[in-house]
Amino acid sequence: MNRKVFILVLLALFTLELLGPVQDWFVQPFTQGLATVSAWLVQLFDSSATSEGIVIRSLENGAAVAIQPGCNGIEAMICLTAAVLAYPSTWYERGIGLIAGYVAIQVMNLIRIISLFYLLQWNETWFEWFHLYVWQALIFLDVLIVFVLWIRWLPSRKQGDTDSDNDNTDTGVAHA
Amino acid sequence: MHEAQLRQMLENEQAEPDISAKQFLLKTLLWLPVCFIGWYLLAALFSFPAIRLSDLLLPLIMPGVMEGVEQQGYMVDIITQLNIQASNGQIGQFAFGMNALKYGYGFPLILAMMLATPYSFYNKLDDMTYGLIVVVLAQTWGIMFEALSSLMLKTGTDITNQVTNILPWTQSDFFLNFVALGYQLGFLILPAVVPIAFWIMRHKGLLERLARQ
Repeated sequence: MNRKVFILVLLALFTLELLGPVQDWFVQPFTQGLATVSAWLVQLFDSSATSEGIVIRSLENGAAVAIQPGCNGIEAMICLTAAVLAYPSTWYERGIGLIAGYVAIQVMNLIRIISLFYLLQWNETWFEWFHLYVWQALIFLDVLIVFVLWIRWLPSRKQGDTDSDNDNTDTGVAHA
Repeated sequence: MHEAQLRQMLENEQAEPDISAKQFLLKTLLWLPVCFIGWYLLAALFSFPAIRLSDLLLPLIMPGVMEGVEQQGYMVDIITQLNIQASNGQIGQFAFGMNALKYGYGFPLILAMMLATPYSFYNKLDDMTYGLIVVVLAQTWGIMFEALSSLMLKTGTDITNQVTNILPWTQSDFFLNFVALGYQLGFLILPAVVPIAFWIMRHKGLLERLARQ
């Protein structure tokens, strides 16, 4: 893995994410879409839930969660992107890794949003704990899991391992 | 003894213990709640270095505005030299509080991953020390930029005017944008990314072995 590429991509994408036009054209619509999907999922089994913009609200007790920047999983997706781009592989493999990884991160994020919505209704202290600390850590652990699974899957890596076994060398990884 | 046998023995001695990806993740998930509870119980202790650093740096960056930073458990009180008028007309010193832990939750994650790695006690201690250093730096960044953004962007014109009277350079657009970006970086990005980036960069070899198992 190329550490320089990892850090450079990380910095470049985070800077990009914070720019006004990127916020207006990508981050905010994406966050709103996430809120809509979360609300739709909740409404499948809970008719007392409703959504408005980035807010999911319970009609039963008025409890509401707003999906703010930082709750949308974009930072985790950026971290995964940097790791995948910094790892020696083909562009096809990187594409597969990123698509599958983004889906895994957002599935986890939807579970996070829905669980927080119900945690808030149950106990505010636990909600704060999970919101501020636990779920943040778990989402990024998810990034690490996805990354390890992707490396395990890499066809070019397996090919590289086979080649290296045959050559009796220890290069390990095939480079793109 | 043959040279090949000796080499093999040497390699076996030097070989790092292996762990499968499944074992590593399972161990990390098992250690995570333990580390979170330990971290929360010792929150005041773990927050101390970052709060102390902020106490040293903030008055240096904003002399005449920032008086200091005080620790109340894991909560932080930012004490300024500015005045604020209460609704009953009384004038007092402006101070505000924040939660330092929301910038430091990367440490239990680093700790859990470190405890799950199949390394010696000394290597783990090494990891823990460097991990603590990077988390403290990220936490200091978070505390400082929350303090600056509260002062410059959230508290209203009365406070901001006092700051710009003392330090005229703080009214520049460049500084205000820098504070806004620094706050977003410190709140959204650093606390979560630092532990994973730290672990990935420090354990490149283990990452390869996890993938191979």
